[in-house]
Amino acid sequence: MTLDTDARILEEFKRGSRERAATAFVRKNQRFVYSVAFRQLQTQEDAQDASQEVFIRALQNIDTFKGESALQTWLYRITMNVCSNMRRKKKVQSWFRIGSQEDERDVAGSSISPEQHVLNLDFQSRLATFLTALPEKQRETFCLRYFDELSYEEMSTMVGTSVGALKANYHHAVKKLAVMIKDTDLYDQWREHHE
Amino acid sequence: MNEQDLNDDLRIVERAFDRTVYQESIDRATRNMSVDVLARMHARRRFTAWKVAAVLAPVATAVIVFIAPWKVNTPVVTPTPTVPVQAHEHVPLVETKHVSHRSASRAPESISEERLLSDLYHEQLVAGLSESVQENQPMLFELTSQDLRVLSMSVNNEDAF
Repeated sequence: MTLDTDARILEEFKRGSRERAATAFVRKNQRFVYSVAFRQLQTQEDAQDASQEVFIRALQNIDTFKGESALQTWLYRITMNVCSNMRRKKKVQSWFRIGSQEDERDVAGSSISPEQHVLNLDFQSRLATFLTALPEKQRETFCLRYFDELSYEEMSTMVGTSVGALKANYHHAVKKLAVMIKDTDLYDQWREHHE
Repeated sequence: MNEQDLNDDLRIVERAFDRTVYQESIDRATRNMSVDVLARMHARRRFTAWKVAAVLAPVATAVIVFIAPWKVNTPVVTPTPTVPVQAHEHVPLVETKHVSHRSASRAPESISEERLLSDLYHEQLVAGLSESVQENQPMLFELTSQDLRVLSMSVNNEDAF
């Protein structure tokens, strides 16, 4: 039996093949959880740490999952809680940190080429610059729709906001981002290249 | 905002934020996540087991050192065989109902001669009665008023125990 749906994964857990079910569960949801964690924490290391913590908590409590909501919705809530706790912890730690703060916004893994690394850094700096300028709700709605490719209905159950409000948030976010991008040199370079 | 404006803006955004670059960076970061999660879970379980052991070790030691010997020393009730004693014989009586190393260490308590006699008399009476009942025979002796008094005295003494 291939464990490609939430129902099958949960069934596998109940049957007792916990390790196999856990692996399938993590593989199915790791991109989404990491993506949310990365947007919340903005560093690869913290996002990986948070994602692992999310999965450990979820796997420890999967027996209590009643199935009233989608597994992804449940994971989203755990991720937001874990990220919020981590941010709070980091805030406290930063009070006791000695010396200059290093630049933690590294996207690069050790296995990627230097060109890819530069491209990623460029992408990440843009992401951080533009997205942080958006209000929180618009930013999260934009990311869930644009990067995680969720439907408005899925987002609605996940965030607890109406579909109409989410659509409005998304449109506002796109409009604001386009205005910000038009003000940069990057946009002029694209236009020149295009013409 | 109409649909056309949204699409134009979206094209600009797509130019700045390439989804594939984002997805690739996420794929790279999550490559070994399932393995890492399971390894971390196992490590955490081991650590929890170690913590539980660390907490339980002093408790277990305390139980072994303090509670276990006390439990061994507690008095144990054991029945002791009765020794046949002849009537009118002066025997220093020792409390033989409960014997333990604690109670055995105590000084023997002497009881009155009257009580001794009544006990013996009582035993003989009961033996005689039970024999006649078992053999379905008429009573071999008549109970006098003195017999009854002694019997009642011995019964009262037993109640006192």
